[in-house]
Amino acid sequence: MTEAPVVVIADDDADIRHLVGVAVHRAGATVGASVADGAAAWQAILDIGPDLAILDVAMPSMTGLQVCRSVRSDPCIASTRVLLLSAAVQPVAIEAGLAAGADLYCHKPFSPRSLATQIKDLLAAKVAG
Amino acid sequence: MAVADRVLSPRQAAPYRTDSVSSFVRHFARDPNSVLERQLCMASTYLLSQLLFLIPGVSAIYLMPVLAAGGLMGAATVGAYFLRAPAVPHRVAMLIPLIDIVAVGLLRAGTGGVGSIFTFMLVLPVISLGVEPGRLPMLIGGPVTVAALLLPVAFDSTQLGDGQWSRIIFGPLILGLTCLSVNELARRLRSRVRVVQRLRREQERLLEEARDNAAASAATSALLRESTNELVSVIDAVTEQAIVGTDRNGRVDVFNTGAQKMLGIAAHDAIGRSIARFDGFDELTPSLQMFLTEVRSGAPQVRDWTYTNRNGTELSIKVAVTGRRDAAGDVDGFLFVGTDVTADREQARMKDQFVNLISHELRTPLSSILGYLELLEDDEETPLTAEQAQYVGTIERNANRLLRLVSDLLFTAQVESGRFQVQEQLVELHSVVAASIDSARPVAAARGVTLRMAACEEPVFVSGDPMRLAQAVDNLVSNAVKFTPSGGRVAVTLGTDGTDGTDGTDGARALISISDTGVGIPADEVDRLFSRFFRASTASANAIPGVGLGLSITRAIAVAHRGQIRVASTVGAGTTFTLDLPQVRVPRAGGSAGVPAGLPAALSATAHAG
Repeated sequence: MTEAPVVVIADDDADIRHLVGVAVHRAGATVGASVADGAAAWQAILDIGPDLAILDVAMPSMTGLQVCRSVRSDPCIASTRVLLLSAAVQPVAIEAGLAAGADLYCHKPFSPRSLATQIKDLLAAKVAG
Repeated sequence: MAVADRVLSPRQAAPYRTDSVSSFVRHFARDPNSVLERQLCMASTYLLSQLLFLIPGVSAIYLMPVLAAGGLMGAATVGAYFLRAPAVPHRVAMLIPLIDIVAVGLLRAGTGGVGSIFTFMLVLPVISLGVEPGRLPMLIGGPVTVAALLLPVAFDSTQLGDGQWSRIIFGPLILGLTCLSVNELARRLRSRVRVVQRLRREQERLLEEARDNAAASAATSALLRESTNELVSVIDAVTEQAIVGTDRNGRVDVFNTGAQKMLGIAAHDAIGRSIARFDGFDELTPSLQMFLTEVRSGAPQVRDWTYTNRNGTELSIKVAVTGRRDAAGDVDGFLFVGTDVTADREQARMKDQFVNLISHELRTPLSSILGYLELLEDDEETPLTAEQAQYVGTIERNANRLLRLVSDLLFTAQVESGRFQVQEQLVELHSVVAASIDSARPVAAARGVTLRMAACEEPVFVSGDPMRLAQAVDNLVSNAVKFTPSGGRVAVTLGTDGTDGTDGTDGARALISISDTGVGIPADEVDRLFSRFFRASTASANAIPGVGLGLSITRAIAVAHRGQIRVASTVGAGTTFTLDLPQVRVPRAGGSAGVPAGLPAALSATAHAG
C-alpha cells in the first residue's frame, strides 16, 4: 500500500482551512501543512513537495495566483496539482485562475462532499499522469 | 468702420468758406465764360488803350466817334453786369461783344481811320464771340466786324486808297479765322468740361454709394461683433467643460476658460497651434486622424481619454467631438467638448471595489456556515434527529437565500458598471426550463401551488451563458410561485414564435412564458417593474419577501442575450412574463434545420403539489 497523498492548504480563514481539511481527509489524503498566507504556502510547498495545493486566491503577502504561477515556473515541483478556491465568481476571475496554471477553480461557498470528490479525482489524475 | 472713415474724410476736409473775397472768386470760377468777366477784360483794355492818346501823333481826329465809342463801351460793361447770370441765353449775351466791336470801329474812325493804332482791340471781342457756343455769333459777328472796319471810310472816303483794300479784306479774314479757331477750341473745351462734369457726377454718385455701403457694412459688422461677443462670452462662461474648436487641419481657434482650467494651458499658448502638438495629447494623437475621419463622415464621436496635466495629475476626460460645418454644410473644423469624469470614475471604481469586497467578505462566512451544515448532515457516526435535521435545513435554506442576495447584488453592480459580458455557447432550453421547475417544485409544493411545464417536442437552441439563462428562468419561475396564493397555478411553456426560417433566419425567436394566477401587478407599475429595488405594491401588501433585484437582473440577462422580456398582468387574475430570445438553428443529423414550428404540442412534464 502506497503512502497517502499529501496536501497543502492555504486560506486566511481558519474555519475554511479546517473545512477543507475535513474534505482532504474524506478524500483519503493527509494534510501536510495548513497555512494562513501566500508566502507561507509557497514555503510549505517548497519544503514538503505536496501532491496537491488547495489555495485561496485573496490572501495576504502572496495571492493564490502568484503562488500558483511560482509552482508552475519551478520545474522541481511543477507536477504539483493546484486547486484554487475563491469567492470571486466572475468569469474573468476564473479565466485568470486557469491562466495562472491552476488545475481546477472552485467557488466559495463549496460543498465539502463535492470538494472531497474533486480532490480524489485530481489526485487520481496525478497518479495516472 | 475704417472704410466709412476714409469715405467721409474729404467732405470734412473741405469746409465751406463764407468770406466775401472767396465768394467773389468762386462766383467767376463757376462760369469761366462769364460775359461780365470778358467784358471787364475788354473795358480794362479799352481804358488802358486811352493812354495811347498820350503818345505824340496820336490824337482824336473826330471827337464825336471817340466819345461815342467810350459811351458804347460803358454801356456794354453795364449791360454785361446785368447779363452775367449763367441763365441768360447766349444769343442775348453775344450782344455785348458786338457792341464792343462797334465801339472799336468808332474809336478807329475817330483816331485815324483804317490805319488807326486801335485796330488790335478788335481781337478781344472777336475772341469773345468765338468763345460763345455755336456758329451763329460768328455769322452775325462777321458782317458787324467788316462794318466796323469800314466805319472810318464812312467818315473819310479818301482813306480808301492804294493798299488799304488789302487791309480791309485781310483784316476780317484773319479775325474770322481767329474767331473760328477759338470757337472750335472752345467747343472742344466745353465738351471736355462736360465729360469732366459727367465724370464728377458719376464719382460723386459712386462716393455716395460707397458711403452707404460702408454704413451698411459697419452696421452689419457691429451686429456680427455683438453676436460674436455674445457667443464668446457664453463659451467662456462654461468653466466646467473644456470647449476647444479647431479648423479642418486641427489648428486651435477656440479655447475656452474651461479648457484652460481643465488642461492647464493658457489660451494664448493654445490658439493657433495644432491640437496634435499639445503636451499630454499623445494618447489622443495616433487615433486622431481615424477619429476625425469618422466625425467628417457625420458621426459625432465620444471617447474617454486619459490626460496628464502639468502637475502630473492624471485626469479621465470624456471627449465628444463633433464637426463644425460651413455655410455649404461641409465639415470645416472640429469642436472638442471635454468633461472631467475623474471623480466619477474614481467613485465608480471605489464602488466596484466596495461591492467586490463586501461580496467576498460575505461569501467567506457563508462558506463556513454552509460547509459545516453539510458536515452536520453528513455525520454518519451521530446522525441528526428529525427535529435537528429540520432546524439544520432551515438554517441552510436561509444561508442559501443570503448567498443568492449577495450574488444578485454583485451581478447588479457588474451590469451597472457595464462589466457584464455573456460567455456564449450553444444552450438547449428544455433542460434549462426543466431544471428551474425542478428547483421551484419543493417551494411550490409547500405553498400549494400547481406547477406545470408545457414544451414543444423539438429542441430549442439559443446562444448564451447557460448559468445566466438558468438564473433568468429561475427568477421568473420562483417569482411566479412566490406571488401565487395557495391553490393557484403556474404554467411554464417553451416554444418558438413559429418562424420556420424559410423566409430568413433572423426572425426565429425562442419563447419562454411563465403564467401565474397570482396577485397581479397594477398597470401603472408595470413600467417600473424592471427597475432595481422596485417592488410592486401588491408584493408589499401581500408581505411577499424580496428586495426587488430579480426582475432587473432577469432583464439585464435578456438584453445581454439580445433578447427582451414582456409582461402582461391583471390585478387579482395573474401575470404572464415572456422571455424572448433569438433562436439559433442547429442542423439535425437528418439534414433539415432543427427549428421547431408552432406552439408547444404536448405537456411534457407536470407537477402537482399537494
